[in-house]
Amino acid sequence: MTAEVAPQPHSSAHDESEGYLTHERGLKSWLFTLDHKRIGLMYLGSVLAAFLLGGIMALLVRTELLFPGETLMEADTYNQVFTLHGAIMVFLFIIPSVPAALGNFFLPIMLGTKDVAFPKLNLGSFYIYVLGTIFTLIAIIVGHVDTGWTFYTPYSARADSSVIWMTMGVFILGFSSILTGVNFIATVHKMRAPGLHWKRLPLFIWGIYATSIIQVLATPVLAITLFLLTMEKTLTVGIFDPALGGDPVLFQHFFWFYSHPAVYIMILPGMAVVNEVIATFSQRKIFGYMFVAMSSISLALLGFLVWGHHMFTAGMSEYATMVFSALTFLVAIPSGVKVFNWVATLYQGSISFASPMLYSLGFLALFTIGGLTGLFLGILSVDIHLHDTYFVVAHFHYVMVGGTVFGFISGLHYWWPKMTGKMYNETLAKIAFWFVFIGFNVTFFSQFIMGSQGMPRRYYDYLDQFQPLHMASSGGAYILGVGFLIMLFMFIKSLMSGEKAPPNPWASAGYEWLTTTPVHPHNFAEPPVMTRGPYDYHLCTEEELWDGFPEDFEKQAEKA
Amino acid sequence: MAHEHHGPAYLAHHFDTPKQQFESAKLGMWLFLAQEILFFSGLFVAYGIFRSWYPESFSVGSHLLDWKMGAVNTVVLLFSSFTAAMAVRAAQIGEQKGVPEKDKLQLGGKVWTSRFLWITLICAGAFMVVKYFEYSHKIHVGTLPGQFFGHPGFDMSAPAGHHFYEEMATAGQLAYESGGEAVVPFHLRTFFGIYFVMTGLHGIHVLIGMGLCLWIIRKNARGDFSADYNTPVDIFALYWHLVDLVWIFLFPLLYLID
Amino acid sequence: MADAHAHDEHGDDYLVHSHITSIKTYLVIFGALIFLTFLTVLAYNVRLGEFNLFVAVLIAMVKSSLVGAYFMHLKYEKKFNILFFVGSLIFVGVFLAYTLNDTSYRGRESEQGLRIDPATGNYAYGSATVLGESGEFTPFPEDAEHEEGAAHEEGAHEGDEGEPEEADAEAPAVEDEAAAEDEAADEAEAVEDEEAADEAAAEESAEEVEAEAPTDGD
Repeated sequence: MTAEVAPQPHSSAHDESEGYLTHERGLKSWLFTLDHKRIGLMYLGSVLAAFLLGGIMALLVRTELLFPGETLMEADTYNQVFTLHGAIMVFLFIIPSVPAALGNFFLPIMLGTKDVAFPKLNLGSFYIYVLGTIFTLIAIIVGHVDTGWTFYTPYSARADSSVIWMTMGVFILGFSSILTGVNFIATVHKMRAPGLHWKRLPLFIWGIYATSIIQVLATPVLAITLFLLTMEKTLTVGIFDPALGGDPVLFQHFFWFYSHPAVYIMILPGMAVVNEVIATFSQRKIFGYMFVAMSSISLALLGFLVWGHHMFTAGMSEYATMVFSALTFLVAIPSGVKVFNWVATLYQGSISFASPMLYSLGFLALFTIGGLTGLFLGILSVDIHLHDTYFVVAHFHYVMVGGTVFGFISGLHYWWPKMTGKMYNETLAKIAFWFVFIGFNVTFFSQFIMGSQGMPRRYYDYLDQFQPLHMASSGGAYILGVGFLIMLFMFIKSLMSGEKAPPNPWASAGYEWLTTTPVHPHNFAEPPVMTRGPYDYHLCTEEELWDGFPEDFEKQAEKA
Repeated sequence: MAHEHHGPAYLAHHFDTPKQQFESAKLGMWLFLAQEILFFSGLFVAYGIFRSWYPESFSVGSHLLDWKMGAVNTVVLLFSSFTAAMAVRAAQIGEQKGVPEKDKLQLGGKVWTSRFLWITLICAGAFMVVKYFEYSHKIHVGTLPGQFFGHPGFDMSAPAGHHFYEEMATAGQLAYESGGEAVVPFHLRTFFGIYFVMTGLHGIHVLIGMGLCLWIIRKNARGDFSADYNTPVDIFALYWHLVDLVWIFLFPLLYLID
Repeated sequence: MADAHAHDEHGDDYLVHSHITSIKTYLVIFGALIFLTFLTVLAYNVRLGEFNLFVAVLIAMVKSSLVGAYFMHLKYEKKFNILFFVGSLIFVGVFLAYTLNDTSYRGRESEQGLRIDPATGNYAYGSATVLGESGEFTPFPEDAEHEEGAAHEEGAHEGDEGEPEEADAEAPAVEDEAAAEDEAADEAEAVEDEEAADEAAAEESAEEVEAEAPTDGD
């Protein structure tokens, strides 16, 4: 039945000294490690630091908008702060969050292999990420970047030269993302354990795989776009600058050819995590496995056909807008397939509302709102009214924060015991969840209302009539911030004094729970052979689904 | 466990077989090349749009480039691609120890790998030398992108010299001959912008290829490769062929417009 | 991958079996590539009009397929590798086609700074009312503010045509300049010419050329 690695938890003679965290010591063993788990943790640290920085920027923006007129900073500073919030959150946090941090850690484990296909390239990607971050930070320190994270021309072509630092930083970050994608696709194709055929692949892997396809095919276009923008600023090549015969709308085409697929780079991994969490906490096979897997791939491919819906009011030709609008609605199909399948998985499952599950259910609700409001924006006539208003801001925050960040946090809670070998305080986690969930909705639902009433995004000042809603939105942001602080405290507390985690605390059938905790340096002491799917709860033994320590299971078995 | 490893020395610990390692590397490289194609695609899209908008400027601009230099570079690059393919072949054949003399495949083994790689490197160098002459001529004359058009040496304070006016006279003549007004098309500067960006980015790829080639030559000299393991030579050659592929399109699109 | 199944001790799935192409094949391919290069140059010297671009790209595609299939061994490659590499070209196609679908059919500006519908070639909806019966431009004597706003909007949208200051310039001046130019000239070229005339360097050279050229225009 389960010839796999099931024996492993028994032989937990592997004490802590043999875990990947402690088998080598010293700073060098981390900085030059080729172990995907350690690289994943280094990514996790950097990504969380970026999240903190971007979050501080968000709170500054919201504080400024508490009252009309100047509250905290000058208009000029405000422009820089919202630019940095966007750029940091998108390029330094969301894009690498799930794939590079959690994906790096769990993709090889779930595939039952020792490492990714190219471990040196993996470490290289991390340092390229660090280099890109340094460039971005230089732009923050020396300069004056106030173009918004989208770097639209012609303004960016004429703006302060520190924009070049920022574009070069993002250019470099792009290559980190591309190389991670290349690595993951090769790993999924060539490194699967015996018995792990495509129809048994965990849906987390399917999601990361689809993400990687986009990373490889779309990110180079961002690179060339930013390269051309840099050339525009230095050599004045005249591609984007209207004064030289260029076309600023062309920049938007270039930018969104990447950045729309990039939206799927951000959301697909979030969905990927939710698959795992929902299956585990419903103790059920994912409903319509193949449909969910294929919807990830089709989202990845469809994502390339709809970029023009960001540019309906930019002066595109009428034909182009119609084609883009029609294609945009197609995206709703695979997204709908996913949502319905998750709900069907929950149906008649034995659901437990542990903190990872709460975040995944939050994802389900918020992503649905975010996705459906996206359809409003895809309608040509409605978009004329809503374009560049807070409605758009609220829409993408519902998808990016309500979707991706909730998915990421859900995964972080879910895999925390496996990564660190420590449990966390469930009560604190639940308190944090409610702060985050309520805070988020207060912040952004009020922005839907403001947007539909015509409040334009990125404005420093506003009419008095919007003041109550801005006040509510800022209040929600503070609640959200408090929620994240509680979470931070909870995780630090877990690291300092958390209980020792058993190998499979959630009684999951997923492959990653078959190995020891903390994880063996080569993931599995013996190369595993997969004899069942990752959601085959009906094929699992009682021992496999035991959620405590293996020793206790034996004792209990003896008693019985 | 991984340390008491069964495979040959070149087999990395996380792979089970040399075949798995080879196929992973090949797949990774093809993914990377797909990425390169999309990277260059932006330039080709910009080219397509501006050529459709300003056909006259592009036609006139192409005549201000020396197509003979472009043709020479095309032949040089095609030949280097050929030698790169031959280098891979030589490495794949390997030393053929124990094979009877009459059954031996020609031009195989470490020595030939090295020779073909050197020829590839020299061709790449020759390509860059020709590029250098083309670039320095344009910088000297002042047929430069955007606001630098008419300002030799990228120096905004430098006035255009008689070389520039001679070129512009030719341009006006060409514009007239192709049925338009006898004036210099304004968007000539866009053509040169695109010319410099496209060939410049391609040139950077050639330079990177030269560096990689040297690295492979060094590894080969050290005796890293054999009939069983020659993946890096293969991977380098794939990269080099892609650089060639890009140039195959750049040559007619930039140098040969009616 | 058939040819070199020479030695294996570990079974078929252990070692790498490369396909070794013969020197003759490589030489033939290289010869074909050189021949096609000559053909490109040859085709360039034959005036085919629009067709020239098509022929040049076609030859380049044949050349790159040869390089891909033989030099890069795509012919013997794993199916997925071929799929991904060749598939990436589809995305390039999408990128190019969609962007051109916008840029080629975007409304243009007329000489008077009005929007032209690319489908009909007439003034776009909302612009035609500005024209009198004779098709001449009357710059909103009763509503000057509106005209200025409209002109500015067009200037902002139409990056391809001139500098914003030009778009804001008074209409009669633009008309005069246009009249001075050859009226038969193609619209787009006329705009280019105006801009060239503005440019000091280009202007000087234009004078030189005018001296050389037999007559101006057709």
